[in-house]
Amino acid sequence: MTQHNDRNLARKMIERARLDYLADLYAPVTAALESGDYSHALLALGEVQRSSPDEAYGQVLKGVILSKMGAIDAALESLAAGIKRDGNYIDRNGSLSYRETVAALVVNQLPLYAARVANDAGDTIALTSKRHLHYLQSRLAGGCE
Amino acid sequence: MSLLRYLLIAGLLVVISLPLSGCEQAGERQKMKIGYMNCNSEAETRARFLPLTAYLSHYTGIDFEAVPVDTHEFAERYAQGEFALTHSNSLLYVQLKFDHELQLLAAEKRGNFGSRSAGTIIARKGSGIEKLTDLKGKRMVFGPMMAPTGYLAQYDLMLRSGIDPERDLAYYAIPSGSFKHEKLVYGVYFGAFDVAAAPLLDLEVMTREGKITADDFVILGQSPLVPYCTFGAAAKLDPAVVEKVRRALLELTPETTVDIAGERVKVLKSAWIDGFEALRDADYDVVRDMARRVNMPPYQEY
Repeated sequence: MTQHNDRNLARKMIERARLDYLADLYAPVTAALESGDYSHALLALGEVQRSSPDEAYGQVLKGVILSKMGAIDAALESLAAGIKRDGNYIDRNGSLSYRETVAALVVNQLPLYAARVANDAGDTIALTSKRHLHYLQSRLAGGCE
Repeated sequence: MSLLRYLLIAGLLVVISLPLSGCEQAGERQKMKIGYMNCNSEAETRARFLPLTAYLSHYTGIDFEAVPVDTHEFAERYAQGEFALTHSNSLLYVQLKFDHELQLLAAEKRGNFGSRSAGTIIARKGSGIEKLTDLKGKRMVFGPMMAPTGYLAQYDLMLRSGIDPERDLAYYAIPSGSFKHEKLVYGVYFGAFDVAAAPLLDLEVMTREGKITADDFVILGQSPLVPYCTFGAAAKLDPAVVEKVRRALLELTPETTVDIAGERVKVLKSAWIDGFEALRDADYDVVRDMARRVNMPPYQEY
């Protein structure tokens, strides 16, 4: 029982350390993002991603920044890739969660992309983005993967 | 008997000649040129696009030849029929579409925004220049005049913000030679100019390569996103060829390779491209609107 509690504690400590490290690593990015300086946030993110290009939190942040800048297709691709790697970033209780941003994106964009695909079945870009939106919708709904 | 022998020999000749002529026809590969807009130099353009050209030849069965073309000569050389396929920036695509009904094949993806990018106006951090209205009376450096995100987008952004580059700046310049976009970033960094028209993609790449840091500059303004480099095809080109080339571009993945001089080369990596996607012509309206406002080709009025 004690051994089990120790393991549980160790796991929590590792998780807390990981989140603190990520928050610290991406602090210049999130600071610029929060102040609305999106171009600067993207450049700061590029610096971090030099050493860890495929890290999930970075991909989620990139998606959030791109969505703020109006690059919705690229934003959805990045968000879907990041959430596939680690769904905690849209977790209700996650300290680094962007759940509300992603949920708003899904609600606002899905009807637009659905209409685009309905109007032009050959619009492959809209089709891909719509797939990403459905994936995010499913993850927000608590789908298992 | 001799007639029978004659018929037999004649028949044999026909049987033999049929597959031979088929082989000969199959061996006659169509030849076609692709005009690639130069970024920095002809040598660089050839090196970048040789693998892509070889891939297209392999995929389509057409012998393509890469022709590096100066941006300012591109429209004229296309009009003269020098090449049937084009790889150019989005402003040249708009111009050739307007003048010659160029067909849209696919748009190139590179950087954070995929097949789009934006123009920014930057100043050195700590210079006291913080917003677009601070531009008045400053020394500015633009990218080349035909660059959608190095000139057009910023010029348009300034006009829309009530700043006339011709009247309100102390002066402005355009760097010469290769690597113009990098030169103007360094121009601001080292104080030769107060502000610069920097493509966001170049800032991205230079930051990623460690040449600058995000904190070196203040971004005073950013243009809307516009389509990036674009493949086009002549209006009269065989639709089957157009479709084949489009499919070849869209099917490219980062793992696609070709053999060049005994070496296996990744096509997209060599061309500095992340991939291609099928934009629609209407996606270029944002460039058209900018060109109208800035009085640039194909809408230029004197």
